[in-house]
Order: sequence, then C-alpha cells, then structure tokens
Amino acid sequence: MSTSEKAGLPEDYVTGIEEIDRQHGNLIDLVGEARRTLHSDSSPARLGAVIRELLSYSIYHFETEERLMRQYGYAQAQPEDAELHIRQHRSFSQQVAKLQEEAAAHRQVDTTELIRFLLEWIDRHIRQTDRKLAGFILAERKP
Amino acid sequence: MRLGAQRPPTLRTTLVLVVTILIAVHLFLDIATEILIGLPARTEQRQLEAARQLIDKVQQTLATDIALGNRSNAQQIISIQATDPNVKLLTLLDQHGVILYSTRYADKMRKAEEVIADFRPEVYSNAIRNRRLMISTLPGGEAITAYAPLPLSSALDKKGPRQFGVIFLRYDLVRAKSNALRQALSPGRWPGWIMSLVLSALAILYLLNRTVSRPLHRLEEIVAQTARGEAAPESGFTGSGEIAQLGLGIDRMRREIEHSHAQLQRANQELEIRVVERTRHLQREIELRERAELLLSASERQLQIVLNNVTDGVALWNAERQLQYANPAFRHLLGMQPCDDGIIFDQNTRLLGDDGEELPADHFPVARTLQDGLLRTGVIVALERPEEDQIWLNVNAVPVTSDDADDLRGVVASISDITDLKSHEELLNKLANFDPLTNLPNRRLLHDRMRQLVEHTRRQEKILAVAYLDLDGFKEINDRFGHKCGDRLLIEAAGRLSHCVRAGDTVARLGGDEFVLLLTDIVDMAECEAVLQRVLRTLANPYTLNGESKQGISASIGVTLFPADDSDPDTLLRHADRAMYGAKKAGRNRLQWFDSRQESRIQAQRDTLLEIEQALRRGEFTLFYQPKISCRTLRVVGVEALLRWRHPILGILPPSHFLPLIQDKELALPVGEFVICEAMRQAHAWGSHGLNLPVSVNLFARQLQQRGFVDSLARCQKEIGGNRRTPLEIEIIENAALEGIRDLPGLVARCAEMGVTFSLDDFGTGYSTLDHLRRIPAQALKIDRSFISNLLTSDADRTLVEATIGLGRAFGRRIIAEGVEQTEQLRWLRAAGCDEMQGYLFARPMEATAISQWITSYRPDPAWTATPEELSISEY
Repeated sequence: MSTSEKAGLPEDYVTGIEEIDRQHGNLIDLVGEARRTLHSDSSPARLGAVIRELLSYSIYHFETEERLMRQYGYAQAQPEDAELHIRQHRSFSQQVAKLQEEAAAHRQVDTTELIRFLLEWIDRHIRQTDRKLAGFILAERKP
Repeated sequence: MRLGAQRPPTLRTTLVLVVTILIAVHLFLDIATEILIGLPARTEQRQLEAARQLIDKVQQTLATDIALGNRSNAQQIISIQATDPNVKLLTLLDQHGVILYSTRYADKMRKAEEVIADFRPEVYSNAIRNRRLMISTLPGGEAITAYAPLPLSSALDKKGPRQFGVIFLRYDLVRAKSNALRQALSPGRWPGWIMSLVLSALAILYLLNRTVSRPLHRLEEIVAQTARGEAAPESGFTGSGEIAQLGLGIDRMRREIEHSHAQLQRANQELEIRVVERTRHLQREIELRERAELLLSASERQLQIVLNNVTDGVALWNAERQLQYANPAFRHLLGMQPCDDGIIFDQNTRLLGDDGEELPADHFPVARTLQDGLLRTGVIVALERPEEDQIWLNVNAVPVTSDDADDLRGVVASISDITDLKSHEELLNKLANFDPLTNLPNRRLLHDRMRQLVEHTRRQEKILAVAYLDLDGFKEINDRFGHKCGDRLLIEAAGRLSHCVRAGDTVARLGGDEFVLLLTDIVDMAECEAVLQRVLRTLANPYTLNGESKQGISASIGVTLFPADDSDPDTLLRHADRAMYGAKKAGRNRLQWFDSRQESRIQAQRDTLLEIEQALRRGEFTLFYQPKISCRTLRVVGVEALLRWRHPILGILPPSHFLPLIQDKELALPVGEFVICEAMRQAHAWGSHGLNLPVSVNLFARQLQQRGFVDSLARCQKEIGGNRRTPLEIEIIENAALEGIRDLPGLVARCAEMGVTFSLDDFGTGYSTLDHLRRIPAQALKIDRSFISNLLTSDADRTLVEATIGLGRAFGRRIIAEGVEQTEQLRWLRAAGCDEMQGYLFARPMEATAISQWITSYRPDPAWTATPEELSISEY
C-alpha cells in the first residue's frame, strides 16, 4: 500500500510524513464538509459546528507542523520559508475566526469567497509550503 | 283543409234560400222600375193633360169674356185658377209680352221677361205667330210650361187686325210625382206582392224537389246502406245528367266496397286464427316462466338464507352509487343506518388505513372503485366510532361490468371483520420487531429503521451516527447474581439508554448485552461524542437490583457516522461493531470511532480541548489591555481586558481562535472566572500603585447563567483586595442569551453592590434589539467595530451610529466606540457626542506591564483637536 493510498490523498498532496498526511486528509475532509455546509442551507448549529472544528483542527494541525519545525530547526535553517509558512497558518486561522465571528453575529457570510480561500489555501499550502517543510524534515531525518 | 269542420246546409234549404232571394230581387227590380221610370212618365202625361185642359178652360173662358168685351172678369178667372195647387203661375200677356193679369199681382204691367224666371220669348212668339198652344216640360221635370194664344179683342171688334196675347201657365210636376209615388207604395199593395212571391217560391221548390232532392235522397239511402254494410239496391239511374252520373258512380263505388269488404273479412278470419294460435303459445310460455320463477325464488330463498347468515358482509351498488343490496352482516360491520349508502360514513366515523393513519372518507375502497372501476382486493381499513372498539376490515371491491364493454355497471363489495386477526398481527409484529425483555426494537426493526434513516439522512444532508454498545463484564454479573438479576440489569440499562437519547433516536437491543443506538440529525462528531459520553456516564450510575444497590456498569461503544462512512445499513452496523471491539481491546469503558479519520478528527478535538484546559492550569492564559479614551477630554478613562493564549508553539492566540471551542463547554466557566479574577487582580495592583484604571472584561451571557456566578465573583474579590471594592465592567457578548437569565435585575443589583457593572458589547449586530436596551440594566453600549470601520464610507452605518449615540443619550447609557483607527473617525465621533473610544489609533491591546508606561507617555495628537469648531457631522 503506497503512502498516498494510505492517506487517501492525491499524489501531489503527499508530503511523506505520515502524521502530517493523515492530518491533511482530515483537513481536506473538514474543508469539504465546510464547503457542503456553506453551500447548502444548513442550520446555524451545523455551520457553527463545522467552523468550530475548523478552528480546533487548525490549532491542532498547525501545532503539529510548527512543533516539527522547531524540532528540526527549520526557522534557523530556512528562516524565510519558516516565516512564510507560519504566516500562512495565521492567515488561515484568522479567516476561520472571522467566519466564526460573522456566523455568531448572524451576519451574512460571503461563502463563495471564503470557500475559494480555504480551498486555494489548502491546495497551495500543502502542495508547496508543506511539501517544502516535509522535504526539509525528511532530509534531516536521514542519517 | 278541414272539411269535417264545415257543416254544409241541406240542398233543400239552399234551394229555398236561393229561390226566395231571386224572386225578392226580381220583385224589387220591378217595383224600382215602376217607381223610377213608369210612374213619373205616367204622372207627367197625366199632368200635361190636366194642364192642357186647364189652359183650354181658361182660354175659352177668357176668350168668351174678351169676346164679350168683358175684361173685368179676366183677373178673377185667373185668380181662381191659383187655388189649384198644381198651378204655380198663370199669367195673361199682351202682344208685347207685358203681363196684363197674373196670379202674382205684383207682376202686373211688367215685362214677362223681367219677372218670370223661365220665360222663353221665342216660344211666346211661336205661339202668337202660329196661333198654337205650345206646351212642354221644363228641363229637370219640375214643371210644365204652356203658352196658349188668346185674341185680345173680340172678333166683332173690327178695328184693325186682331191682337193676340198669350196665356202663360207654369204647372207643377213635383207635387204630382210625389203624390203618385206615395200612392204606389201604399201598404195596401203589399199582400199582393207577398202572395206572388210565396207562390212562385213554392212552385220552384216543388220542381226542385222532384228533379234534385228526391234522386239525391235515394243516393243517400244507398250510400247509407252501403256504409252500414247492408245489401243496397242499384240506383237505377240512366242518362248523362249530373245526378245520374253521380248515381252510377256511387253504384260502382258500392260494388268496389262490397268487394273489398269481402276480402277484408277473409283476411280477418285468417288473422283471428293466427291470434288464437299465438295466445296459446304465450300461455305456454307464461306457464313455463311461472314454473321457472317458482324454481328461482326457491334458490333465491336459499341465497337469502346464506347471505343473511354469513359473517362476511356483501353488498351491491349500481354505477350511480346507489346501494342496491346489503346483507345484514354488511350493515352490521359498517354500523349502517337504513338510509346510509355504505360508501361515505357519518362524521363520527373515522376511517383508518392499514398503517393506522386516518384516511379521507372517500378513500373507502368501494367509493374508489365506484370512481375508477378498478378491482380492489384485500384492502385493510379500520373504522373507529365513538364509544366502540376499533374494527378492522378486509375489503374487496369488485367492479361489475357489462359483458362486452368496460362500462361500469356497479360494484360488489365483500368485507370481513379481521379485528381479531389484526390484534394477533400486532402481537406478532411486536414479537417480531421488539425485544420481549426490554421492549426495545429488535434487530429486525433496527434494520428497517436504519434503512429509513439512511435515506432520510442522505436526502436531508444530515449526519446519522450508528453506535454499537456492549456492556462490560455483563457475563460475570450474570454468573454471579443469576440470569434473573442480569435480566433486570438489562431492563434498567435499556431504560437509561432510552432516556439518554432524543425523541427521534433509536435504541435497539440485538440480544444479550448488545445494544445499538441510532442518533439522527446530529450536527457533528462532537455532539455525537457528547451524547455517547453521557450514555457511558449514565450507565455507570449505581443500580438497585433486588433491593440491593449495585455499582454501575461500564460499556464499550463503537461508532460510525453516515454519510462519512457511506455504507449500507448492514455494513454500518458491522463497522460500529468492529469499532466496539476496538474499544474493548483499548481497555473498555470508552468510545471508539470506526473510521481512523473520524477517530483522529474527534481525537484532535479532544486534544485541543484538553490543551485549552491545560493552558488554563499552566497559566498560559493572560490578559492584554487596551486603553479607552474619553471623547471629551481625550484622557485615558479605563482599559478593556482581552484574553490571550500564550501558546507554547503557536505563540499568542486571540480569543476568537479558541474561545468558540469552549463556549458551550464546562471549561468556559473556569476560563471566565480566570478572566474576572485576573482583571480584578490587575486593577487592584494598578490601584495600589496609584493608577486608578477601571477594567472591563468580556463574558458570554451563558457564563452569567451559571449558578454561583456572583459567589465566584465575590470569592475573587475577597482573595484579591480584601475589603476594597474594585470597579469592574462586564461586557456581555451574545446579548440574546441574556433573555435566558432568571432574575437578571437581581443579578445586576448584587453585582452592583460589588462595584461590578455591565455593558452590551457588539451593539447593533446579531439579535441585539431595542428591547434589550430597555430590559437589560447595562450602563454602557459598545458600538461594534464593523460600524466604526465603515463610518466614513457608509451612510447607513453612519446613520446607525448616530442613532445608537442618540439612543444611549435617551436611555442614559455611555456609548463606547471600538476599532477607531483614523483621526477622521475620532473627529466625527467627538462631534457626534460619543463618550469613549478605543482602537489602534490610540493603542493596540498590550500586556499589563506595558500599560502604565504607555499611559505615562500618552499625549493626545494635536490633530485630533486641531479645528474642533470647524467640524460638524454634516461634513461627512
């Protein structure tokens, strides 16, 4: 069984770090759920639940990645990449937090724009930023 | 043309009438001729004669007198003639036409031409010249005029030639004529006329009778005899006269009729024979039919006996929906009154379908078959009448059609009472679908439900959780305490499980100690997890069995979510089962997700929550403070405390990134308490350094709902400041939730005693309404940052802020604008009469340690107050 099959991810999303790939799978599931929920007329409760899990998972997942960065001294080795990487994480969290605030205030959410952001972010971040990090880590792991 | 309506007069009458009229006309013409022509002529003649005689007499008398020379008598003679009524005028004229004597004295000695109207000189001259009497009738026949010559001197007078005068006479005709007419028409002459009239009529009648009436009468006799069918003689007429011809014609006709009559009689006889035969035949037929009817009524009686005594109801309707027949059982089963038609029931009767759902009355199968002509068999319905047991019926409705066409002629219905059967069926259904021990749905019903729910969930885009639950160590309990005790435990556990789930959820028992829970319409994994954790906690409560209290029991739960796990019901169950084994292996008393992804996702949520909990314990939470500036004085009037999480890896996280995760959880309480206590502690610390800074904190309304909120507030205050009251303002987000707080005014009052006040955060967004403003005793309103950021670009937002400021004034509330970033915004807010401001224009939220330093160095920008008098709201 190949790594991509195990994670259920497209080939170019696979970083090769099992933990990250698994989490990416979940993140993609989540964004998919968010997209379905935001597109259909879901109840505010369901919308809130999806957003909360996105918030929760971004903390969980970014922590995993940023811990690995620290562990392998990514910021020291490639400070620019590390900085961009973290900035992208914050940007994602902020978007979700903003969405949460708007949903809580029962404001109209520009769902199309938001979903585009989430999907593009996931696509760009995993294929480029995360794979760069994974490449660094895998290289570090080799004896 | 209707000849029959005419009634021709008899010939005799006609003849009499005609003859009478003819004679009368003739008589009339006769008389008329006599009167108009004969009589006047004769009268005229007679008058002429009379006139001539009169003239003669006068002539002679006068001539004699004149001859004697005695003229003196002349006038007298003439005057005497005037007594004759016929004499109109008698005059003696001389030879010159001068009147010598006249019956009219006035005319004497005058010229005749002048005074006598119809005097004719030429006739006068003729009379003298010819010595002749000239007599004639005047035109018009009114009178006769006569000119008679008369010698005026005696023949003895021999003096010269003899002179002649004229005697002029006008003799009346009119009077004579009218006298004659009167005489002619005198009644005395009538009888003669009438007699002649009658006699001539009788004579004519006699003739007519002989020549016309009598032969006609004879013919009439012949015709009448013929008409009566009697033998009639020949007329015996000969010749070519019309009546003879008629008689001969009648003879011919009579012979024809006699011939036809004979033929008709022959035909009649034949017909009669035939009628007799036919009657005999009919008689036979009637007898046959009667015999058949006798036979038929026997079978009908049998049929009647059968129909009256069967338990099934049988009835027949015609196509017009009229009930033709219903046997007693039918009437009984349907509870029919004699007038009922058995199709539509009265209002008190409810019709139910096989599934127990109420049906419209016209869904009774018979009514539907009458409508569409379709065969219906084995339709199960129930009837419910007040104060009667529900009755279940099996109804067959069979359309009756004509042999050759699909034409619906009626409907035959047969119904049977299946109430007993139905109750058995229900029992069987219960036995088949429910677990007899716990009364929970069994595996069979569970499958049905799952099939339905999977469909429902797919359609509604919801989530269905399938949880497989196995009690831990149940076998040991059974072994130790016996099966009976084990059964009681199962019953109790089943009851608890049913209580843990919501109305639409399903708890089924598969057998032994295995249960399945179907949770419908769940929002997310976390909700599902919350329910199942509650299940585990509930089962763990102690049990009372046989009067003894036994400790609670744990369980292992495996769960999978549809449609994330997009499988069929059997597979979903298998997956949940597999996850349950995982839970057992992992050490029991736990929940295990089937899907590794689901598992890792829920694990991630659990981890995050755990992390927040640890963060609180490890002191990773901290408060940042943002200064509030007075609009009027531009001085610092307080700070808002904002929660931050110093995440060991991710750095400083704002509350929007993690607070929503705990806002509905127990964890929200200690976090809120931390915020309050920390803010109070900091305010106290500042106070003890001479910095008097009112602090506000953000709390969810839900936190105020927690019991003991005021107590925890008091505890904090006591721990920190001893007796000193620390001012604190609580900014409430989610204003709508305030509605749920019992005795809000009481709470606010108790807080006020501790120096704690309230403000409404994010005013203008969400469900905050004017009603909140009235009912919630807040001291301040905080205008949401979104309105401030649009202040300079959106008319609507500007109007809203103006209105909010106005409202604040009206209700005596302080107005605080947050998110102020531009000088222009500041100026506008100051001009509009806002009370306080905060935002990046002044300072970002900062750590407590930075605040005192910031305050020391804070100087209002001169631009803020540059030309305050020039500013007005209308400029923006």
